[in-house]
Amino acid sequence: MHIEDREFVCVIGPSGAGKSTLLKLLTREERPTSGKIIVGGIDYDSLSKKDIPYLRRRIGTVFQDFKLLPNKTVYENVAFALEITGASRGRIKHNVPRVIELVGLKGKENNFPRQLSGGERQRVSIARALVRQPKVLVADEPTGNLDPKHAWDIIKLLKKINKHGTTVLLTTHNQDIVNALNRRVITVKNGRVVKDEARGRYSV
Amino acid sequence: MMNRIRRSFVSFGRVGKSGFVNFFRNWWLSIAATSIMLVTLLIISGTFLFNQAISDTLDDLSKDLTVSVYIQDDTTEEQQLQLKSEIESDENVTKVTFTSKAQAKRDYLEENEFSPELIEAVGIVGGDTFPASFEAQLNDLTASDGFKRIIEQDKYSDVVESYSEERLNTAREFGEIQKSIVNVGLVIGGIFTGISMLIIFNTIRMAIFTRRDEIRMMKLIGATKNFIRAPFLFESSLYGIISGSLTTAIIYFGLKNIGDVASTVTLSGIKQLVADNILVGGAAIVLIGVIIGVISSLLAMARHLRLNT
Repeated sequence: MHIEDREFVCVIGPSGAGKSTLLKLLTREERPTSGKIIVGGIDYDSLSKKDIPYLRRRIGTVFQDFKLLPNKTVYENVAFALEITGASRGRIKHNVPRVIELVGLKGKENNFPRQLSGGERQRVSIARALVRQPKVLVADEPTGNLDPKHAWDIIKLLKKINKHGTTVLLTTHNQDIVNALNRRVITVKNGRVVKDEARGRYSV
Repeated sequence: MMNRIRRSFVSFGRVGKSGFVNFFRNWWLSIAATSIMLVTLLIISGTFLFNQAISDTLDDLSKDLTVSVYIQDDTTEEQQLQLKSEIESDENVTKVTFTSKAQAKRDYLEENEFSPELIEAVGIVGGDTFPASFEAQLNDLTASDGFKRIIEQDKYSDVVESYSEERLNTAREFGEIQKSIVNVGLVIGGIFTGISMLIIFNTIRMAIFTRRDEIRMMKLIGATKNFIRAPFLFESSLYGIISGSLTTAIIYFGLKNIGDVASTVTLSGIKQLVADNILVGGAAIVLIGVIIGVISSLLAMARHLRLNT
């Protein structure tokens, strides 16, 4: 299976089929038992343990349960992704407000996650993934915990990000979203890719 | 290169901030850890200072040590002079004086002027009981063995009745007390070091536990192992820094305000020692605290912080 630069790919399949595992292989949370993974020219077989943090900095990750820090504000949560890389204060001040604006949370910088709706929290999580300007954005069921309206907002945001040149990998259960997106769909079943369509529709 | 230095500088600041936040987040545990560490460091440094004070006292005792050599009544003047010259030939002996029988009696009566029963006793036993003696001043307690060898020679068995070992014995007793108190100090110090380590271990374990979501998230978004570990190391070092500084302050001001405990123990030496070396000594105490803290938190992290996924 090969994914081009700037592609927008949906990964679908029943629960336990291996969608999340596929994404976790990319972030090295899981290791393949066989086969080869190459992202942006980096062969994962050649990675050592201490390369993993640096690999994860190059791939933006969005989680179903957001994984935000409850005692940090929106701004601090996003800035945190830069802080751990040792980025300068200047770069943080420059980049963070921009991504917050990009995801549409301008004016909520000083709110805490508990003061936000589910959709807004997911936007923070996306902003945190984007602030390091990754080439690849991996989103594991980003809409899984959201109501349809917010889910759609998130999908629109992901499309916008894709348009700006970031490769997006999305796993989802949501039939409507897959059908409306009308993009490449990879279907996974029992740990195998069973279908790969350039303009796919949801069918499991 | 400059960039790397700047980066580590920036990261150090962030790690420090995070460590401080941890310290205050579980402040009751931090206070417990700091106080037990304070007690530990006080015991360790107290043992050290006590050892030093006893050594000083021993030095004082051995300075100008006077040993009286009592002469048998029926010795000739010749024998006495021979003994005297041989004693004087010992390089540790700085001065030898002779006290005659009559002088010894006068001294005794003078000393016990206000104890009529003791003077009465002299009358009962007879005026001749006080032996003549040589008072030899030794400049070194440790070299007293050579002196003993001279007066214990066979040829003087008829001349020397006995010699006073009072101060020799006092010195020996002090030496024994020193040994046992230092031993007790080391054992208690060891026990408290163990307790400190247990408490810090648990404090860091709690901190890891309260931050487990944050740590998991940090790993997923690409924080390095050291960046995750460093705040815990900083936090545990902080216990050492705070309690070490407090220990130093307590010792410094405590010794300043303490009088000589009785006059048996010499404190002027350690007072001087502490006053002269307060910075180096304080740094050493802080370092001991930091080492105890860092080792315990490394153990806690090895046990409870899983970073290998």
